[in-house]
Amino acid sequence: MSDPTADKAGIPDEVADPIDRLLVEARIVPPPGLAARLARAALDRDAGRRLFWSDLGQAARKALVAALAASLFIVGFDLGLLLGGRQQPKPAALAVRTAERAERAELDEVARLAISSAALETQIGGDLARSSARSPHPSDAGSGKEH
Amino acid sequence: MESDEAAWIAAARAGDVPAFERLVQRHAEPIYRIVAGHLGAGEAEDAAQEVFLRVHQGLAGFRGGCEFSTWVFRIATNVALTRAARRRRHPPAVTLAPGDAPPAPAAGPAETSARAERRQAVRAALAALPDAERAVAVLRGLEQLPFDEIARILGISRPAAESRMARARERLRTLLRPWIEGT
Repeated sequence: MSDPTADKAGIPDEVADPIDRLLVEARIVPPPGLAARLARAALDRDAGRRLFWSDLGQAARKALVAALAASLFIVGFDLGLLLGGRQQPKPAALAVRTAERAERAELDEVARLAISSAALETQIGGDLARSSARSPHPSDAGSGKEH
Repeated sequence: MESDEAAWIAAARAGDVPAFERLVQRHAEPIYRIVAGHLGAGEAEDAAQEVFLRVHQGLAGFRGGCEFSTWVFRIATNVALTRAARRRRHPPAVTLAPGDAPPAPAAGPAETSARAERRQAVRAALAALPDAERAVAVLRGLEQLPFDEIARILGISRPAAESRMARARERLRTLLRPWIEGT
């Protein structure tokens, strides 16, 4: 509930704190005819329109500042990523290169084995041929029978 | 809310000009003192005009969930704080020296120069307070409102209002020491 003395311009009798007394003493007394002028101004349509556009301008300025701040943040963040990326490979690229290396290693291994297989067959074939040349009965060569 | 005020609000909402004028008549002086407490006499009437313009535009949205005075005082405080912040960002081109300041309107007998200087010093000290503390100091110190009402106006708790007032007093005591010791 409001203090009933709040509308009075006079200084209350009992004010204990000197600061309170100084504040009350410093109240600015309203000039005469104030209420009528204020009511007239409040009902002025032109003043209302000016206030509307002023509020719109304030809101637009705030939105622009926020958008600029967001843009600067994004640019700064991208710059930070770019500068940080030059010093060490990005994890994604590193993973790709590792996978490529592994794949090449696998292919190399396959190729080596393929070559080795061919070489092994060639070698086995050569051994069999040499073995046939030494023994008249090629079927006894591997039968294990003892004569 | 007083019953006549509720009727004036309803009528003003419907476009009744005399009803709105009665509302303005009732609240003009405290509103003027509140904005003057933040901005000084030079900008007070302009700020008070903006307050009642916003009151008039916002009447349709006032649901009566609080006292009409609480709502109007809240608008006044917000207008004053916004203008004070704008003034800090864009200070006026010409600043008056203390001796050039226009004399305050006399409340009764002609003011002595010492009293006028004291009032100027208090107003300058108020202007030097942080916004949150000045808002409470104006409502409590200048308008003598109870802390419950101040808390409702500012949308804070009563302990927070009391705490801000205590801090404001300490700062004012420091800034106005010569004036306190001399009284």
